[in-house]
Amino acid sequence: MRRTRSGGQALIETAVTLPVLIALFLGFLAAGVGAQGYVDLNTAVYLAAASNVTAFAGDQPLAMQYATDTFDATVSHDTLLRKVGFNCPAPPSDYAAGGQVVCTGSAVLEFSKTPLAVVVPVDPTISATATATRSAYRSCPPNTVGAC
Amino acid sequence: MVVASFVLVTFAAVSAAFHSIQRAMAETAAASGVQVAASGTPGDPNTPYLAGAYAPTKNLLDSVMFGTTIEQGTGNQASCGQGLPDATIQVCAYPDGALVGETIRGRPGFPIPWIDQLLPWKVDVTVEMHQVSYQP
Repeated sequence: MRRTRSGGQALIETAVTLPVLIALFLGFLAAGVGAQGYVDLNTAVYLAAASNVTAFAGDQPLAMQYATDTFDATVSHDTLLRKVGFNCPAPPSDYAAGGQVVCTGSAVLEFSKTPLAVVVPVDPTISATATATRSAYRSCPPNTVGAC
Repeated sequence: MVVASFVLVTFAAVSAAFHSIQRAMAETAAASGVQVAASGTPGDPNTPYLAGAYAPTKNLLDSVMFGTTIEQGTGNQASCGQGLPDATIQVCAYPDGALVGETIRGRPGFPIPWIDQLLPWKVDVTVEMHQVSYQP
């Protein structure tokens, strides 16, 4: 008789605590996936800013092409990120030799593509910013007239 | 039973956290390596320095990849790290049009030896960067 009561009590305790523990575990996983998405986006923006400053000084379209190509390619390898926008606007960016470029990228973190949608029912939009400085000795594009 | 469930869920959470750290470091390591790969080869600045990507990547990965063999691969994004044994990851740098890519792929080891047979954790990270241009 005692054994049956004890077994029943354990079963009820398990039934009460197990869903809480599973929810906690899924919450940990969701936090991990969220951190992973943010690290990936941060890396993409950082590499894009680094690419931007390798273009010739004063050539903003070329610099933006380098940066956008880098950002798009890196974000495309993360199946949970969907690009929303990317830009390195001037100002505040300075495309002259020795100038500092500020890039911002944003993306939707698609929890809805994973079973974690149970605990995170919305797909949050995350953003990251990176700065990079063009070399003071970076040359102007060929055939440039005047300062760049 | 409650204690067993608690221990199991706690272990799973710790494992997931450990995997997050390993993956975040792989992303950082790949970003570090691809910047070297996108630069010019010594003596030939118009050719990406693909071989230079491995050393900085491995240096960063070593700090969190316990009991894991890190090897240099020659494949591209699709073929890198295929058919590797457990507790081995591969680092591949390759050209991709005007960009240079670096992929880190494989199943890292786990601090508790037999656990890596059971956990499905894999690292699969790819980053790309535009090649550095030089004035003609």
